[in-house]
Amino acid sequence: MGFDYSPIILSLKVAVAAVIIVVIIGIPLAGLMARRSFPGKDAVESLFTLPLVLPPTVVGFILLWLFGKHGPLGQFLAHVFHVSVVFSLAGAVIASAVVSFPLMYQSVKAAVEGVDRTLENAARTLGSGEIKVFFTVTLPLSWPGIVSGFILAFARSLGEFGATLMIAGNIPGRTQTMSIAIYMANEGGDSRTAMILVIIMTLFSFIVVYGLNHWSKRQQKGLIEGEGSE
Amino acid sequence: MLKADFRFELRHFELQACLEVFNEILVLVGSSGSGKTTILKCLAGLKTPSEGSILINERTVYSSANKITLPSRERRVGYVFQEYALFPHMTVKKNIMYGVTKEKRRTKPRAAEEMLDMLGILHLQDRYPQHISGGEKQRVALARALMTEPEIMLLDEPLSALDQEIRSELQQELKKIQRQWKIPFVLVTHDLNEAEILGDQLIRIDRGKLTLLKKSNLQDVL
Repeated sequence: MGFDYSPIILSLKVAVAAVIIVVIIGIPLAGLMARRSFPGKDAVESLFTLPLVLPPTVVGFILLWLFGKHGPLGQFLAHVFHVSVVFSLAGAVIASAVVSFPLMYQSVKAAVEGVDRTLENAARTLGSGEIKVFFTVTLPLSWPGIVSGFILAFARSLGEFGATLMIAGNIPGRTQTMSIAIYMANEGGDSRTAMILVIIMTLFSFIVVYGLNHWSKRQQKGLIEGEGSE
Repeated sequence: MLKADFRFELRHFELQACLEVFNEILVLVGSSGSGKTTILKCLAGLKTPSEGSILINERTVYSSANKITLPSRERRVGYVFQEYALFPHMTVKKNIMYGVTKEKRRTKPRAAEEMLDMLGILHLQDRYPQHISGGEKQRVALARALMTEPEIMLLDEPLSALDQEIRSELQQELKKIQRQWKIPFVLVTHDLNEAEILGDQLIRIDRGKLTLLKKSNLQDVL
């Protein structure tokens, strides 16, 4: 019997899509929140971090309610786009993005807060608007935080289990991702399949983390050399 | 010329600034915490005064009465920060090109080299700021600000982090540059000796209050 690789492919698809969403939403939001203060900021921040501390089943339940047939977002999607994300790969992507978002957000926000504001002010006096300041000064100097946020978010998305199972279900070949396949294989006594998936997942995760760390060090060469030489 | 008259609430006292600077060097001298840097930040648009007006070459960049507050990027102000604030992730060349408009890049492609050459730091253009000395950083910061062709220059303790020898050298150089560019320079220092060497006009600042120590010759002429 041939080995079923579909959980691996599905997990990768989900993780890549979720991380793209998290990058697009998380980085600008973290940048803004690091530099602005407004009434109720603490509450908003707590809300952003909530998926990190809530049990995945709670997140899954909330998502299921939001995106379900009678949920506000579910009804909106059904009326406007005629789609439903429940028991689909899109549901798995949403679950992964929601639970990995706080990791990206926290990491980027801490990095942005660490950037010397005088450098941003220098850019302003040199004629830059806020968007240019962010992309040419703040973001490049927050690079280590962005990379670690990226790695953490990717790893979290790849391993997402609880929330994914609740909203996307366990449909082999469609929504059965690696972590769910491992659980199912193990439960069903197929420890060979479980073992192969575990090895692939471990190796792959290692390569991604190692590769990204290595690459980011090279990107940061100028900065790192500078820190070491003074 | 620069004309400013404004108030700013600091935590322990109120800052009252009234300045008139022609194409000369105005030195603000005072101890730390006296409000010197705040004056520069208000002029540059990095802080907003509570009341008053700031005019650069007849152009109102701030006026509480007319509710005008131009952002920094539109003020055409060159600012040399106390710790230079060079971008650590860019080479010297990229640092000084940062504020240069696309148009100027096209019409004056050699401008950066000429500026670096004038300040004697052409050989440093591919280095990162972390790898050059304090005096060199100072020159790069000056070059970076001048490249934007500012209408006034603001310098916050530009020489305080340097050795005495380089200090006197750079004092002369600053004077020379000001005479060449013919724009108002506002320089802040805590060193009275340096203030006397550099200043055409000298103002002491103490807990937000300004006292004229030396009148500008240019003011007498007008």
